[in-house]
Amino acid sequence: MLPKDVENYFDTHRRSTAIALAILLVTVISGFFMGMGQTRNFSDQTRDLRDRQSTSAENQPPSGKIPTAIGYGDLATATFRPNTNWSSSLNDLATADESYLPVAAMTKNERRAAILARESLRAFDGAPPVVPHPIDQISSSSCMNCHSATGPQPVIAGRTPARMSHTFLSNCTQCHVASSGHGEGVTDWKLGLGSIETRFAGLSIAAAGDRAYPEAPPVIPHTIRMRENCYSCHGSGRVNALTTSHPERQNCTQCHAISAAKEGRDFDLLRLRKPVRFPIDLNPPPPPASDPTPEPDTKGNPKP
Amino acid sequence: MSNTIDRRQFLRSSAMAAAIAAVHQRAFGSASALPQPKMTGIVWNKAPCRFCGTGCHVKVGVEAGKIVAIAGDEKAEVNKGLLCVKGYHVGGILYGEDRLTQPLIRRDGKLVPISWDSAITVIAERIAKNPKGFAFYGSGQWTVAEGYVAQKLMKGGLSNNHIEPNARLCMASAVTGFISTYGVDEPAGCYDDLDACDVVITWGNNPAEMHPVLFSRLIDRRSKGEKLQLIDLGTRRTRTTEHADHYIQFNPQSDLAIANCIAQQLIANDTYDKRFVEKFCAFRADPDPASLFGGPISFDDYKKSVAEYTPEYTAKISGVPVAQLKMLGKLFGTRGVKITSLWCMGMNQHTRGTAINRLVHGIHLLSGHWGTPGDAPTSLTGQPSACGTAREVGTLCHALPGGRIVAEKPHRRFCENHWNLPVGRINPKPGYHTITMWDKFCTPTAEGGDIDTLFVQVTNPGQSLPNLHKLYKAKEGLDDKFLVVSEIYPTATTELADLVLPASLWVEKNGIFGNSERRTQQWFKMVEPPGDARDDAWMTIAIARKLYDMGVEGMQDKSGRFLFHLETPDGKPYPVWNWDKYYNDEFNIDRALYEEYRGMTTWKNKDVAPYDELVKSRGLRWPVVQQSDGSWRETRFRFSEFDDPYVEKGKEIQFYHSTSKDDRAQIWFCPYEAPPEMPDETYPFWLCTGRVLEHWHTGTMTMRIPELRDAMPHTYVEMNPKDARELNLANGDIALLKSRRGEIQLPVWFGGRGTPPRGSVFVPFFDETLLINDLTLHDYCPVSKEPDYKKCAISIRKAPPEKAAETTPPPTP
Repeated sequence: MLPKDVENYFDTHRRSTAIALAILLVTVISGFFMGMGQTRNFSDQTRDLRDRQSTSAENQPPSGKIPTAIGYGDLATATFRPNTNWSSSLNDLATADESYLPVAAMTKNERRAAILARESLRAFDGAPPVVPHPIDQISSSSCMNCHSATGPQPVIAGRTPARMSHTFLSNCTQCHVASSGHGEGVTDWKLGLGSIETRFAGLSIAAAGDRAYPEAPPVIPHTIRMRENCYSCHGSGRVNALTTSHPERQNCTQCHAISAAKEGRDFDLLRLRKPVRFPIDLNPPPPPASDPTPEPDTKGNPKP
Repeated sequence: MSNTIDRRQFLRSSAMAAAIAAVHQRAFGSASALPQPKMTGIVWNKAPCRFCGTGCHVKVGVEAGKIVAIAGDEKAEVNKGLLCVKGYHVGGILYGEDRLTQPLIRRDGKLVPISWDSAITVIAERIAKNPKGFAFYGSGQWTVAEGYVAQKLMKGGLSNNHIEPNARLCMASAVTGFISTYGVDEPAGCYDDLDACDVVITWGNNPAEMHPVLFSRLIDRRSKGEKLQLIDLGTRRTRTTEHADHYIQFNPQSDLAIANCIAQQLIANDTYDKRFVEKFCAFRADPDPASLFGGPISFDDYKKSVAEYTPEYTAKISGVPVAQLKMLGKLFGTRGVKITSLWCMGMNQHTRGTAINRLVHGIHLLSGHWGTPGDAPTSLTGQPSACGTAREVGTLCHALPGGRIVAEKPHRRFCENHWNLPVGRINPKPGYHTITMWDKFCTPTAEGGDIDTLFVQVTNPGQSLPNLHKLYKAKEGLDDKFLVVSEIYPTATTELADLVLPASLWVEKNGIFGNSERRTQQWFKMVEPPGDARDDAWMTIAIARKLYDMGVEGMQDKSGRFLFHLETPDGKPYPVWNWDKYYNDEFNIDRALYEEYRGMTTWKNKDVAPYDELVKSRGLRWPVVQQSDGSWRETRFRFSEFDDPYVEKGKEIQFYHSTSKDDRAQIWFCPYEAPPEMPDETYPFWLCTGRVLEHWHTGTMTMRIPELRDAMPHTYVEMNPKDARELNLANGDIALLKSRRGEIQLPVWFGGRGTPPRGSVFVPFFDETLLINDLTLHDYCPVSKEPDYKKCAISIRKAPPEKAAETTPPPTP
């Protein structure tokens, strides 16, 4: 089509073009004012937000007037409520989708990353992990909201909170302390004694579990005291965790034996026992002369 | 492949063999005949936790000569496998990079290395020059043997009673409370009460943070479906309050009025236990001046004295609503419900500490809530062997081992005889108690400061004494004063020390502790101390030996033998002062010293268990009495016939050490009296000091554990948010706190661990860089001599910005 043809087209359709422009103008102007109106009535909660609407009565704003702003000093004891579009109820957050379908086994690097992530929160294998996020200093119930043994688990920033194994213990901060000082605004890392290096080298959790023979299920290489719920750490969908490749099998200790040596169980009965020779140890070949002892890793653990 | 398998099997069996060998050797004290394996693996052994007086047992995992893991001991009755965050990290206390590893002496203001022999000689020469001017200051962290040798050196060797433990600052009021009520120290009940009680009352006590394992033992009963009522009586809201059914907030010092009010109601409502009182109790009150045993009064006198404390009158003093006071009165008046009272520093660090201890025992006795499982007044201690060493070995200026006192001639004669000393060796006059001892040390000799050499072991008075400017810092510049400090790390006390001795710690040595429930607990050395660090007991013996060699007469017994004459099982004298032979395969010195001490414990029926029984157990509660079948039986409930073997048949309850000599316990009347310092116009706030979960006392050990330090890196002032707003202080702002004795700048924290009522603040004392004890009061209880760290008057304001900047020290390199 030539430009002349276009001109001719508009010439012949002048009337309908004017009508179209007029409609556009009206839409723009009314749209502008509608937008203004909507901004003003933001707290009227008419927008359709991605998050589900909160339905609980306690989340409704006080009716009638806008709440008075308060000082930061009063935040801890403030009784005001957020507006209804703010989802302050954990039950309203998206929850973890726990799958029980088999998944691919983790790669070596994934395992290494997971172990490092775990080690960063523990002084040694078996130590209660420190809490990697700010905590409520006074109330255990706030811990239970996310870390309960049952119920839906909210996904927060892509992570799923660990499920607690020891539900009979209700004083969480007795063993689990925050890694970030007092909390928001108080800690001044320049105060206090400062960091004195420690030479404490705790038991590493890097060692894989022993296997009796190549395809045997590995022995659990750590104590399971206080962590009897294997899914808390090994369940599918955990970020930076040693997740199981076979979540469909739920009776973990059916195949994975617990290690008495790691737990120090019955250590004072050891003196009653005779040294044990394992039945599999029938014809041990002599160790090569050049390598009389297995090479330990840096922490003195035998190489897996 | 088979090679790999075999290697693993070999490792496994050799680890087990190592464990067997180690345990065998420790249990039987001789080198094992088992083959010594070349390979290492984790070897586990038992030990009581190094920290508080709860006395949890931990399993210590040692690999290649170092602690690598800690676990709760499932076999321990105290903690049943659970620990607190300090306990789980207790292995780290050995491994701070600034561990002291060699003796250091101050020359021209600087600490420089010196040999052990020279260090011991320096101390011995100072003692020989002025034996009366020497004082020994230890703690409830002394093992039994360490406290015992210190006690014997001072009272038996030097005829010098200036020996004190820091326990004077900690549980002295509990001791005087027990003695003046029952005639003998330490709780009659035990932790089993926590499993059986229906109601627990915490008197100014925050066990959720300070005794968390015991607190969990209580509240976990709720998770198991049991009913337990928790009543928190306090002057601030804490984590314990969070779990409480009732929070009763009272004005500081008015706990005395509340206890009297409960007694008033029991009598006015005729709900006291008449049978119990008639059979087992007598009444007593303080004459003027106050004394340990007071004088007898009649029940009518008692009735008249408490009549004044009606709920309405008490409400005015205490600020507690009448309804809550009546609730308490009704509770104690109810038979059948089991009530356990718990307390710790809130009642003990009190200028009326003995009085409030007596009153709490009194309301339990008056109401008959006494002597059956779950019905008990139980004091908790803060140090691992405050009971075992300070109280039982009696390392106090007035005491002798086994509940004896220097003032009593028969007690002195018994000890002189037991120690084979000439008659009259032990000085009948009590020495200086802690506050006087430090006051005399920090006062110039010319002005009457007659203590010139002070030996500090296992404690950190430079941080923990009250009113530090007067009682500690004043030592600086007094050239004729000499401070010897045995320590594991540099502390506020080593700052002013003239001689620093590196000490071995916890499982670097053999030891025995005694916990809050009369439980004696033993452990073996598991790892080597670093560098040239040595045992505190050895230091004391080595000093004694040096004095013996110098010809100091007191270092010989009646037969001319060395004061610490110990013989091997085959009768040969053993050179205990020789460090190279201190640990060896054939002779356990800790065992020998403990067994010597054990012979002194039966007079007050505090019979501690034989060492070899302790080795097999996770601690045993005294009196431990041998049965007809040869076994040893511990005692859980003292003075109650169903459990205590020393109660005569048919007596039901027998206070066989009664001060009124009639098997009765004393119900005391002690009036409420205003505290010595109260807020006024210039100093309008109450200051209360205390502890936090993560740090143990002065933080010497716990500040070197990254997990604990990161959770609680520095101290703070806890305020009521309304007070903070009025003073224009936000969270993290620096406040300037001033008392009549000193000042300090601290960051403000509200909405955190606890909330004090308006007009009062709380400051933890663990931080050696921010010493709150510069501000505290050194006024003390007239009977127990324990100072009050919980109440003094201060002013608070926002620190000027430039001042605030000054408080920030440069980061530690």
